[in-house]
Amino acid sequence: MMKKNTFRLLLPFLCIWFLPAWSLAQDDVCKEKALDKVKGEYNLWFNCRTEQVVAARMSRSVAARISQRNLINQSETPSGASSSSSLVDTSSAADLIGVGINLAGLTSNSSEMKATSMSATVSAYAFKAAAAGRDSLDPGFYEANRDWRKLSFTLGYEYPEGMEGDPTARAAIFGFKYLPLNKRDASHPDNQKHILKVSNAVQAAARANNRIARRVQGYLFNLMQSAGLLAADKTVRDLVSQLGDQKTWQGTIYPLIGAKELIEIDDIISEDATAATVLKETAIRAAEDIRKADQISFQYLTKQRRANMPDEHKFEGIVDLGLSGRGNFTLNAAFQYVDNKMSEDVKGGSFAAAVQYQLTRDQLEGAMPWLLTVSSDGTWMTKTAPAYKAQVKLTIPIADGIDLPISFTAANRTEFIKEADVRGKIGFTFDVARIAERFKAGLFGKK
Amino acid sequence: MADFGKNGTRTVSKNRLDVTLRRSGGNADFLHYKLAARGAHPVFSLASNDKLIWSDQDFPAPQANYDRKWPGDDSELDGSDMINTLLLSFFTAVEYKLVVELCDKAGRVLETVKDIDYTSDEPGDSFPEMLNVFVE
Repeated sequence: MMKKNTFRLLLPFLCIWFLPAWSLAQDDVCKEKALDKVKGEYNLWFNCRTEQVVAARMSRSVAARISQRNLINQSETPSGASSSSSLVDTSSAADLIGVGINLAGLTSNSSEMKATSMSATVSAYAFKAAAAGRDSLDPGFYEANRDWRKLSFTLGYEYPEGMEGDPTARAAIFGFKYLPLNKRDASHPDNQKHILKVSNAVQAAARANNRIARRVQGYLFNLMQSAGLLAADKTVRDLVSQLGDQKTWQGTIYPLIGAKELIEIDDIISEDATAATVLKETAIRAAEDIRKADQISFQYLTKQRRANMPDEHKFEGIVDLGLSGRGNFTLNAAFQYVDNKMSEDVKGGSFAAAVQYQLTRDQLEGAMPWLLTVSSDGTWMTKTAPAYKAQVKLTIPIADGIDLPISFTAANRTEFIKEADVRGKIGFTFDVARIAERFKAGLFGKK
Repeated sequence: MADFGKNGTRTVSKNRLDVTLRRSGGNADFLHYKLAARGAHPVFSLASNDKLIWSDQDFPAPQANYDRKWPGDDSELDGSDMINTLLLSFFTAVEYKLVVELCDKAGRVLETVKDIDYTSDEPGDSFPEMLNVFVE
């Protein structure tokens, strides 16, 4: 009786322990890599099995970053967009060419209209490469001309909503951005240590791959012999030549690999998968460190309109600083000027700051970190009452790659609160829409 | 669906999984690995069994084209049955083209063993390209 109860108590834990490996093996998610009529082959299948084993071994916090890789690049819409719950823009610029919608959203009297805009950003580096007749992605040229990527130019247009295509309503957008400090450039000297770490991990993983490949080939050799498909006098060399033949691999060898065999092959891979796991985790962590590195940018944007419609100018400084590995500080300061042709000009400034801090430490196993973001925003424009907002946002991870942002916003004018639920001058939201978007985007490894 | 990793594509023009090098009777066949890369800093490593024979760390600065003739001499061989893995990382590179040629002692190309293009924009993606090498 005691034993039965103990078993019942342990059953859920046993299921949790064994189910992932069992389900991984039962349904060979790598089947397409093996059997695709055009691309299917042994090497792709073998690599896919290794990736599955590595993914199962990786720490949850790092695995989630495969999809949610950047602490500070906005996964939300820019702060200028009416549906955004973000107050602060972060600094970034395209290495070569970037095309965006609402990239140049200016906050002004006229931006109360929901505008449809399109802009393209080209770095000075792209011009330099074109002028030199060099491939902009030539690694040697890329590294030697890092400074040229500090400057970029923006060109675009914007229509007020409902007036798309009307040339009299179109605003032309011009601008430039300069990054005096850009440690997020992969070629920045500070990033050499990250590249070296990844390179060392690649070396170890290449050796380990040979050991795993040898053992899996041995396993398949025995499998073939047991099935009577390889004569006793044959060697692994004969097996390898058959693995390289798509017809034999797909029609003869792969069908021998059932659920039991998949488990055994995964076990072989798992025994020596540490190097591959370390490589994946090292690359993801290093990429995140680079994306969180310090960056300072200055940007000027102008919207030029025809006839008597107002022109707008905005000069903005953006500072992103990593704080001791667990936090990020972002600061926007902007001066805005609206050149009204028919009335008095409007000018003023805006200021926004945000501190994002990871409340819980990275853990190799266990929960994803919780993030706390505190931000504030103030806008002072002539002929308009000042607007102030402050927001506290707690981002709670509820599953790998899915988080639940809970924000609390206070403002001196309720129309500036973007939360769904506004009581008095305070807004509060559970951002269910964002979770739905995450599902739509396919955060479980699908594009 | 990606061919590998999250975003990797692998386009094969020619791919053999095994090759035989004639290294006796006056023969000295070798493999000519040619790797072209695009991006910021290519990171790759070629291991033969447990021996590291080629890596981005062999070069002082990133470059667009790398090549390695292997084995330079018999001391680089680790027996007569080896597995070579060229592991390509997309940490800061976005594109690779690998060509492996089987050449005779005089450097004449006997056969193109591999001709494969790889792309990915995911820093965490990597692909281990394998080749069984037999020596006789």
